[in-house]
Amino acid sequence: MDPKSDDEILHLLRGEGTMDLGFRYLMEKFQERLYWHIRRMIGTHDDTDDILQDSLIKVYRNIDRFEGKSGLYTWLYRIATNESLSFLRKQKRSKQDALDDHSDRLAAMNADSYFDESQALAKLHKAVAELPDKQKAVFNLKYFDEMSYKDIAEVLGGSIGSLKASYHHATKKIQRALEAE
Amino acid sequence: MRQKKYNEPSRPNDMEKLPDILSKLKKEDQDAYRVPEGYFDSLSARVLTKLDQEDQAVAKMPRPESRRKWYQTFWRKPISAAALGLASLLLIVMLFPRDANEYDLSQISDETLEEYLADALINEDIAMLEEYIPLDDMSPDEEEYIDALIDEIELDELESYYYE
Repeated sequence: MDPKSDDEILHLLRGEGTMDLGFRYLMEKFQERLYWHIRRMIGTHDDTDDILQDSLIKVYRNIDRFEGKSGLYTWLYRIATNESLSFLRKQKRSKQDALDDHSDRLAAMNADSYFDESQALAKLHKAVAELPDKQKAVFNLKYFDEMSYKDIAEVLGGSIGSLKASYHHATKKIQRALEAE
Repeated sequence: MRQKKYNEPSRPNDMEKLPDILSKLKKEDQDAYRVPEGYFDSLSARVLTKLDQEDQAVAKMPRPESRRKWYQTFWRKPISAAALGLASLLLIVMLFPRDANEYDLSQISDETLEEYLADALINEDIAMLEEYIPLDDMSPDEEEYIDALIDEIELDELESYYYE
């Protein structure tokens, strides 16, 4: 499929009889980026796959609600992030305490056949998994996706100042975790 | 000494500067996260199939009017059924002579009776939800089944029922 601009994709999504084609272009263009964003939030492939599919379906069903005030990609990231945060919240509710939740998540990452512990980045991903959910989202969007604070604010809400502070705390915690290894 | 200008941030790049260890990791080519072979090639087809399945499930659902009616009876029905059951039980106890094998309600503690009624109500609600919302991809034995079932309820509709 030829790559399309966001405007062309939106035009197709809103056109009569071209919605499915527009949706295919949208998936083609954004699925990988969204996958990696969710994967870094969640850790395991199978859960990421479920959340990504649900997020894309939500996009399809709610495309009329996209007003164009923010960029298409920040809107998609917002949906994917909210789905991920809601998954993490549900998981947390089913655990006795936060420690159980963290150790279970790390155990699930280790057991995932699509996680290679021998890679240098494995330690970083584990350190990220220990962060509080919101800080984790800020760190991932800034460090891996290299989003501007303005865009991160569109995805997560909150002021740029508080996002900067979150990112600062997250990098410090990760640095400590990596240096303690 | 240079005077600081108004609004000039102090050490503007301080928060942005990455620790060395993180800068180094940024240059790593190989990620620890992997995906199955061909995963992204088949993803869109799987999403479209899931969308289709959801549409078919929605098409099988009752129309909005009967849906509203269903919501209206949803909360009342179990309560009515439980009240009717309790009234019948009391009537039987009052009308028929007691023998040694008969249950004596006074011997059943209030807690046991409450627990029985609460279980009956919950089971009734879940049975009705199951009838209304098909969750073909999950088994009732799965831990998250009830969560998933409840997730399928449109909260807006429940709210509109309460506030109408």
